[in-house]
Amino acid sequence: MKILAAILWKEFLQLVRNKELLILLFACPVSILGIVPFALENNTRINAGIVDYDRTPVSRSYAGMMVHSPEFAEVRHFPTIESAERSVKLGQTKVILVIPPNHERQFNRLPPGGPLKLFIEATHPKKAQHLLATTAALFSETHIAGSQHNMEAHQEAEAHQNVGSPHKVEAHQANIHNLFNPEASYQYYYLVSLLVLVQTIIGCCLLNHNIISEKEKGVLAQFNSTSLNRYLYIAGKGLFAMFVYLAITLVSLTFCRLVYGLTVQGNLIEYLLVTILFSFPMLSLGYLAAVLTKNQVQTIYLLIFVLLTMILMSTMFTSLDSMPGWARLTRFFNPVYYMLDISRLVILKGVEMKHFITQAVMMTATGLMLSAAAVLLMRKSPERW
Amino acid sequence: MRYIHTIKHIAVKETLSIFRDRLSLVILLILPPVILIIFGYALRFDPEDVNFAVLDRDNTPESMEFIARLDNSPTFRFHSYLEREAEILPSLTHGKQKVVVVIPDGFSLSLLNREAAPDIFIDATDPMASGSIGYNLQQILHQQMEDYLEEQGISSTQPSFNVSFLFNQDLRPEVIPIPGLIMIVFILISALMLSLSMHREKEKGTSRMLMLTPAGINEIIAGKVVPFLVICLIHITAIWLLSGWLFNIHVAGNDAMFFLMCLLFILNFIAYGLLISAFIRTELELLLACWFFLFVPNMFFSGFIFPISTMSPLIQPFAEIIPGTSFMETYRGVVLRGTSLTDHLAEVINILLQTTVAYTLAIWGIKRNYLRKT
Repeated sequence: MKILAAILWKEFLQLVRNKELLILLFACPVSILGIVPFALENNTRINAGIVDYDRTPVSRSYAGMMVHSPEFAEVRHFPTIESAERSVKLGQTKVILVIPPNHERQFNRLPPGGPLKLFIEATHPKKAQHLLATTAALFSETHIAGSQHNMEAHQEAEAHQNVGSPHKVEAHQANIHNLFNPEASYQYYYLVSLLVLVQTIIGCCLLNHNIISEKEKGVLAQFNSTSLNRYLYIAGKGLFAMFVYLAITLVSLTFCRLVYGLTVQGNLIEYLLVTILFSFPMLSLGYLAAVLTKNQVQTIYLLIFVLLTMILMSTMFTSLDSMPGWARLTRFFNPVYYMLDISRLVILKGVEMKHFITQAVMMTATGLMLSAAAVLLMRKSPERW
Repeated sequence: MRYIHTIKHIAVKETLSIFRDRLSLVILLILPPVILIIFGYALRFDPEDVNFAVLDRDNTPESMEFIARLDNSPTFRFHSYLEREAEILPSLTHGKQKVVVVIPDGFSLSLLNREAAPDIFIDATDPMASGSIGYNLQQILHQQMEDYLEEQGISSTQPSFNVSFLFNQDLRPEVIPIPGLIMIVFILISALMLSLSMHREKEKGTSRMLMLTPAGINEIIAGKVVPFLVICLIHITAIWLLSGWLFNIHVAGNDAMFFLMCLLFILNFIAYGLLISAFIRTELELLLACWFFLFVPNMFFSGFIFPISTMSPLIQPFAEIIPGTSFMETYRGVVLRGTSLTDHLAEVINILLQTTVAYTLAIWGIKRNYLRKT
């Protein structure tokens, strides 16, 4: 126990004496959590264009609708389709509405209006689909309002002629209820993701750098020639890294609470326990990378690859349902995915521990496998040490 | 001429030191294509096979058809029936469902009006996915109504649109992640390569020896950059070939413009990496700084995940000027829309300016920190 305390004290002194690293460890998460959420306001306003060949009150009403719509930041008029397309090509306009000649005349028919043309910049297909839905919904309302007026006149005329009146039909809409996030705010969702991102990067790099730098400087070789048990030494380093990791999580959570009002809906103690649990596979990964590589350059390149894969596959930036089947399977080996899942369940939904036992077990199992691999490699080839 | 001679010698020295660390070289060479291949296929933003549960109070052929239509669409997959309203919240909280569809009594009759529209409960913790789910569900419902009306011989009041999707007619989903992935590769690899090399020299003490040679600081950096630029050219070529072969994304504009654009951005990220390396003491600090000050801001603010127009007005000016945004804009212009670099003058000038400023500051930092006696 005394030896473990001594190792912890040595690690503490080592960290405290490196002021830059200490500042960076706490300043990075805070600055990231302080800036990035501003990217998540979700008030999309895009630039639109109109090519009006009709030039009638109806076509002008379309322009008015677009100008007053909160969806569009700026609505520009173009004389020709070519000039509008050029604007789209240069990225200045995202959607163009082309109103064909004689549109107003056709508007009085059932169904009302001739086909409007919509040109949408589709270099981002998802945004293009959203734009189509938004614009179609906007004009659907105009058409319905306009057609009701025209239909009344039409019905009146038909009544005089003793002809059956046409049916009035409206769009059938479902009532959508967004649960756990009624305003569909991106901020809380991505704050949780950022929190896990911080935990992932720091957790993995902290122990890894500590071991590899000592290995490179020959400090580990010196310890090897003492009676100190090397597993105890690594365990001591891991334990200290776990404390730092927990401290960083607490600082980040406090920051989120004070600045954004993000509170843990579930049990905070349970969440902190899970955080400690998550540190196990991440520290083990760092440990394994340190055993596998010879110097810091190699370890940095290796960690870049591994961390990038884990982060991008963790559903941090896309949902699991969007991934192809083979990519979904990778989650079984990805502790970041499980941590993200648990964090969303506990912080956003307030779920109790009994509902995420499986995820916790999977994280622990990954940690055990990684640390076992590192220990095995270390035993087999002592020169790696 | 003497400068070129000196640069050549430094470049040879750097090449040798790169080749002698085989593992790093292999990782450096295979990392970009591997990232592009894996994530080019894996990163998709449209949900598929989302489990849904149904509380059907109508129990008519129309309500069953609605359920069948949902189940047959690629977005949804039927999971289970619910018996009571009280089951909705627990099934979304703990269950495997993300959507619960409540079909009210009289749904079949209501296909002609809005009186008995279905209630859709979505787990909206992921706002991006829930938006897509809601949109797709509305489309399916709308289509059922249109078909029903057609069967009844009733005209719809819905306006008709002729829609043309420009520059990506088939709405191919791979167009979304590829530019972002290339940006990530450039940021992490380009920024780290030279900065790591410089930092190693400092840590091993060989930077002092380099400073004692007749080579000036600019020649040393230029000599060190040359082999890394060759590696970057291999990356660009690999990206160019793989984008075309695997993802069918061919440069719509000029191929030379694509290479020039990539080189410009690589130089920019190299300058940023150099700047970071001038002010840090350990490799861990370098790694953390690259992740948190290069990767995260460029990932979130460049328009890769969220459009810049959705961001806070406070942050938009910052988002507009970061290198990632300029890269994404220029890439989408040159590769997808077929524009020339002259159409992106603002972005090019922005990048050149930032590269110059970052490089100047890096040189100042290196002179101050590398040459100073510690």
